Amino acid sequence: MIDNRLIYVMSLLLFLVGLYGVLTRKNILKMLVAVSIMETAANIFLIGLGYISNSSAPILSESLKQVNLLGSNISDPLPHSLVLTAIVIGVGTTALGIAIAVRLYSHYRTLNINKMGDKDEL
Amino acid sequence: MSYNSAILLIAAPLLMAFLSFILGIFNKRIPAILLVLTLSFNFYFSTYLLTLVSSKGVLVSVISGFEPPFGINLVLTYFSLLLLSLIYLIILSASVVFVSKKTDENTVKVATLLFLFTAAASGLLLTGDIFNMFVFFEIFAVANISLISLKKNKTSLKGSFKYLLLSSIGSAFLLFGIGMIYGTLGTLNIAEIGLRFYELSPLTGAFIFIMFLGAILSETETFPFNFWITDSYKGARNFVNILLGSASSVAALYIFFRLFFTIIGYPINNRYEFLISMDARLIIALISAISVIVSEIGALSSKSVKRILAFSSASQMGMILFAFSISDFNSFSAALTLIFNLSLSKAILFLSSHEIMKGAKEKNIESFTGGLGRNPVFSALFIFGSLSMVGFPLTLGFYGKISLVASAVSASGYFSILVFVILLASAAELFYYFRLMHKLFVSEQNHTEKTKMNWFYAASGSLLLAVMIILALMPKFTERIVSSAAGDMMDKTTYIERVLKAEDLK
Amino acid sequence: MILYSFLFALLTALLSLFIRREYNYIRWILYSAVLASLTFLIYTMNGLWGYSESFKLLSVGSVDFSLNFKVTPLSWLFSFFTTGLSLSISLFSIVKNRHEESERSIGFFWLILSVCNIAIFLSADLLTLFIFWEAMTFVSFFVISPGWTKSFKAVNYYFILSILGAFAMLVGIFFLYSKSATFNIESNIAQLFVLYELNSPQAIFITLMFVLGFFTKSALMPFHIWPAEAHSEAPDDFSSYLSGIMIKYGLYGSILFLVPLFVFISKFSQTQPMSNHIPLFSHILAWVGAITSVVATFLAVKSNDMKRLAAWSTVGNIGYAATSIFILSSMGVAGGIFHIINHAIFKTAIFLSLAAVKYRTHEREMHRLGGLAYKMPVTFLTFLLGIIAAAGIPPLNGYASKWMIYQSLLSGRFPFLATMIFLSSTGAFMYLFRALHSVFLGQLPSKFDDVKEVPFLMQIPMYILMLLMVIIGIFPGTVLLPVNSILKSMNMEEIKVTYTTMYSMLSSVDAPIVFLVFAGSFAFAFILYLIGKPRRHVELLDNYTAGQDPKEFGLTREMYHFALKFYEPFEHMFDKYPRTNTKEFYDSFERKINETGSFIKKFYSSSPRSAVYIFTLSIVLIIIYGWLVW
Repeated sequence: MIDNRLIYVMSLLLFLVGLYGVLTRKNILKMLVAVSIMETAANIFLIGLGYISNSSAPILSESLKQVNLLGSNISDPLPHSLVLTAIVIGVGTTALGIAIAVRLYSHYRTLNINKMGDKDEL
Repeated sequence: MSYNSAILLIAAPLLMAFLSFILGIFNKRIPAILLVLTLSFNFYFSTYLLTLVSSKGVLVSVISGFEPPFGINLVLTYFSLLLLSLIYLIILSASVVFVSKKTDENTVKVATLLFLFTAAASGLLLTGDIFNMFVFFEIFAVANISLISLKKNKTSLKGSFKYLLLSSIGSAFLLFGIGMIYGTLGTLNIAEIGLRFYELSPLTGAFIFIMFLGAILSETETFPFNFWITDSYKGARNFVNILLGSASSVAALYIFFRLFFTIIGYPINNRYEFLISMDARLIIALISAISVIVSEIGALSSKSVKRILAFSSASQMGMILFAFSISDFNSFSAALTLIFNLSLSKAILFLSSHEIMKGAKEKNIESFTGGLGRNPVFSALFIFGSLSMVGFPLTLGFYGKISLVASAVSASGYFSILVFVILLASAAELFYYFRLMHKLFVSEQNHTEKTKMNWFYAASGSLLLAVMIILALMPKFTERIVSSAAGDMMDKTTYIERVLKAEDLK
Repeated sequence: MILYSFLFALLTALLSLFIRREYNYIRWILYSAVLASLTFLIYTMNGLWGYSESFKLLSVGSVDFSLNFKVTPLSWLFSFFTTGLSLSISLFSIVKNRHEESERSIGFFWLILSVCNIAIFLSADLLTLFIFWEAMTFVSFFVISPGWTKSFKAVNYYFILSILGAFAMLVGIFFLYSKSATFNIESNIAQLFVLYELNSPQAIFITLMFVLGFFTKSALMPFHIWPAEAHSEAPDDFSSYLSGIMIKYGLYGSILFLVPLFVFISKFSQTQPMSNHIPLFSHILAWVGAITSVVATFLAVKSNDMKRLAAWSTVGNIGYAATSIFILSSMGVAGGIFHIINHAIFKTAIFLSLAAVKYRTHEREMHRLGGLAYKMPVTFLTFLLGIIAAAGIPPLNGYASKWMIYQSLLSGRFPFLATMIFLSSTGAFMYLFRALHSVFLGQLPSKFDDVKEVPFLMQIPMYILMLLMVIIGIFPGTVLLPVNSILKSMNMEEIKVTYTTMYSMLSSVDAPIVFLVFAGSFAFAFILYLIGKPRRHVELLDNYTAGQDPKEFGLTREMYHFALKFYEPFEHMFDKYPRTNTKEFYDSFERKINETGSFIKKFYSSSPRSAVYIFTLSIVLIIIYGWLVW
């Protein structure tokens, strides 16, 4: 019994948490975590769109076949597949980010982003 | 008849991306050669499709039997294919430059990335499905980021990290926007969204608009969102610069057009209006004008050549976005001319400036000193490129700039004031390009060594220059492609009709 | 025919790039030949009024780009004189540039510039005018500064001001185009006139845009600083082209576009504010011209660099011509055009002679020169005639045009303008005499003892120019009769003039008689000189200074050459008045821009987090904006 609107608000809050993290964390890895949180928020939002209160999972089973499809309470399966794709992409981006973070660490010997401004390179 | 072969444009580079990994084990040259071959094929095939589209109108390629609005389908419009051919041309010239490099352990990986880049760009421009666009958008960003970080020095890493952060936030925005659309309209097909966008409440429309703005403006190098550009351009390798400055920008502009005009806008009285409560045109026009001014001023006081070119690229993008914001036939024609000019001449500039500065210790404007004596071919290329960039009469840039002014002034209102401001700002552009050109003429000897001529660079530069000269000197040809593409951009109705009635076309 | 000749010239320029360095002179001979043929071509077009050519280019959106050329009396006169003068300059350059380092680019761009020059004068519509205007601005950058660090600093004032002016003009052109849907000059003038009646502020804005475009090019106030920088640092032979020809484009544009507009307004408009029977706008522009001439005169008096002095003198002369044009009487317009032509001739002569001096001495500061009159007699004579013409002393051509300007100002009842022009004309005596004294008279520094006259080929253009100055001075009708046909084509009243005599409302001048009087008095003085006692040339050091032998003091000839701070007392007279430094204003503007740029640049290369901050902030701003609007 979850209201859809609650999911939307929660996802928005999660997004803001992620944004806050990106803005305030000094550590690159933590920033990447925050970015991941933002993406997760978007994913949750998508999932929430497909959700209908009191519905069952969209799995083609014996019980489902007997129910009249028009009155059925199955959630929309499309957002699920979309989110799957989005998660994969998010993982890819995060992996790339971590790879860059490692390289940055090897250059600066620190993960503190505030120490990476190069005044001499103007 | 279905035009499913268009999928080859995406599939071929994707297949090659995997193949090159395997074949690269045997010989490191193979992926590079495959790259050039694939791109030549893609370029040829896209121009073939372009001629097809110009005679038959918008074509839809239905994938795996799902008729639109369901499933994923590719939409071949004149506009998208024209930009795609342009992008292929740029990637081709960049890969020629890449091929000329000595092979090392990275060659295979870079070739794979370039294949990925090509596939993503093709997908972005061809797809008719907004979620699919998001996927390609992400792949494109990943390819871009990895390409930028290739050099592994501080600047490039920092630039790519900035890019990563901004584009990740942007993609989260995009995902929110797409989710909003799907939740309210229940469809992901761009044509159907465009058809039914009016059903949304103004608040939802505004929300989606802002989400899209956040998603795309960092890709289009527009000022408050473009803080990645200087480090990325400065740190990246030369052929990556060409890709970033020309191909990526063009792709970003295409996404911008689809998101804001095909989806949110609707043409009325030969002009696009927006289905949201705020004055979207004013917002875009203001942001782009500010972007032009800030980037020009930033470029003016920069010493590093790549940074100057990066800022100049941002300012040109601002100008094109400004032309988009006027959003009538004339301004779209102007924007197209400017896109051609930007992509071709920016590629030439990056390529030739790299060759001119080769051998200098510090890659700043001082290393241009005496370029004409040291390196006449590339200096000439640089001069041609920058003359077109600043709008020397009877070059592409001139036509673009003048018709931009014409369309802005005839649109009246705030556009005529903003275009005046933009023009004044672009005087700064003239100044720094002429400063660079002046350095080439200086005959004083400096310590830069004379380097060997790189024929691959010369070939790829003169290919681009030839295209630019053909476009500038063959009025009939240019006129036809520009006006067909601009007409295609204006014609949202046909786009929707042809996509949604794809089965009738068979 | 016109376009093909242009293409031919451009092709020649392109091919000439491949001539080897040892054969530099071939390139310049080639250019002279091309210019000669162009001059001849234009000469044959005399009388073919209305002959036009059109070439379609691209059309993007609603704008059809095309090149339209048309021969009118105005365009013919300007293009013929300017091309002829460039021919004479290029003859000078054959020898001058033989050992010049960067002459390849100078010559190449210069020939392109000559093509643009003719095209600007022959263009039949505003877009063609703008195309070649812009091309001319861009190309001239490379001639003024062919890779020289010093001239790069100087050219920037010129370049930025010209570009801003050109862009202003572009905006003006397209504001008109959006109303009239054509680039044709006459219909646009009519359209602008209608707009003055309907929407006066907008019309004034458009006119102002054109004024900005023309005035930046012609270096009128407050854009008067660039000639002193650019003319003095440009290649020496090119300075004469810059000063004699290129600075006139703005005035040409004014005569082409603004003068007919203002005449229209003064004849038919009921609504526009008038002053002294001409539109107030035009009157203000006339004042700008007069003020420019006064300011330039004072600055010329102050300068010690001979090319800089001549450049300021150019600005002053442009000021006279502008004043005369903008009072809109036929006498004034005719006098203005006549003065433009005359100025082109005598300023070319002056700059060529200065170039000759520099060719031999490599010196520009006047106090380091002196006494060259005996060493370089032809150059001296050219310079002498040039400054006589420039100061408006009869019987040379400058006198005729200045006379017309005064007549028009007085008969139009503009006493204050006339006073200012008188004032600056008097100032012109001061600085021109100073230049003559410092460079050619006075003491010859010992290091220039073996200076010779320039080669004969370089003297030819000087002879031509001297001849032109004298002929036009004696027969002002040679120029004024074509000027009359210009007035006729502009629907203005013709002035009364014959080959030899000029008439005005107040008086008339018979130029040959004036010439004879002057020639007679000169001959009289010369006879006195001949019949006087035999003279001996006394060296200055062969003398006593304060009762002492100068050699014992260690005095040298250079020390006797009083040229540095020549007019210091005069300058002190103005010490107590506040001064504004226009150049300083532009410089500080540039500094501000650079500071802003550094700030932006720093922000761009700061840490990735600020990027995200600004990103978020801008999104929030847009949301707030949306909220407010909604």
